[in-house]
Amino acid sequence: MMTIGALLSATSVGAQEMVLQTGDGGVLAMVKQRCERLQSTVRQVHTDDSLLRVNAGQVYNRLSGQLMARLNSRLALNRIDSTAFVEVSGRLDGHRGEFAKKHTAYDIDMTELSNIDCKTRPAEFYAGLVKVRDSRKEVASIMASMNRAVKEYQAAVEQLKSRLAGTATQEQHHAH
Amino acid sequence: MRIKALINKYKFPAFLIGVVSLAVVLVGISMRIYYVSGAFQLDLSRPEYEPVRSRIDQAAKKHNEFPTQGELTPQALDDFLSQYAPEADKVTSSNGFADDSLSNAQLGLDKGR
Repeated sequence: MMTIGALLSATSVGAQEMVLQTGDGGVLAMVKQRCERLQSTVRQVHTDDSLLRVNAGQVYNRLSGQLMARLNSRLALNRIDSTAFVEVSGRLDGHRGEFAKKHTAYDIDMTELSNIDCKTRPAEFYAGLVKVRDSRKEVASIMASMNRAVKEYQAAVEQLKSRLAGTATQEQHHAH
Repeated sequence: MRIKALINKYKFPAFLIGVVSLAVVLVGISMRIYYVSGAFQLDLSRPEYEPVRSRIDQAAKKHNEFPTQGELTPQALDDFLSQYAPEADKVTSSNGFADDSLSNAQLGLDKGR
């Protein structure tokens, strides 16, 4: 365990604690044993996540810039109360900035993990893996917040649509 | 003075050295901006992403923008939703970064295994 402590001197306290909790070092032995497979999986996840980042980023950009912002101005032009719409789209914009930052941090952690040789430095690799899991969780959490905002906006539009349809029906009845 | 004399004597080599040095400095600045701005993370033209490049969603670039002018009727909102809902589904239906692909169990690091 002394060696593990020395190897982890450069990693975060949380990650070190996680490794030390592994007790008998059984996990570290497995890291060493499955090193090549682990490195290949890490590389694959990194690649898939980069692709996901690009595709999701494009979708959020489109939803925010080409759809939400434009509907918000159309609502304002039609003098319809757009407070809720503006609030939700503003929230999504804030989250987008946060998402980019969190993903950058995750990508750096992932790159660092990919550069660790798990055969010669299994403890450091495992500590890096724990750190990557944490930063990936943060990206997932901010993405969940963005998705909540996306759904809220859709629900608000559907609600407005029913309201406008109801008003139109009432006007038709009055006309008859 | 000595440098000036040397430059005057070897004009063409001095010109080449100057141009190459300038190019190196400009490339250094560009690379710095490329990494610092985060463009690096979004750049799937890097060689390691060659196998997944075909999976980049190109459809996002082909959409029309929702018009900002005009009366807002239920039909207009239907039109909006017909563009919005499929896009929203792309992000809300996926598990995103929340899957457990890096868990001990997935990586085969469980003690019992």
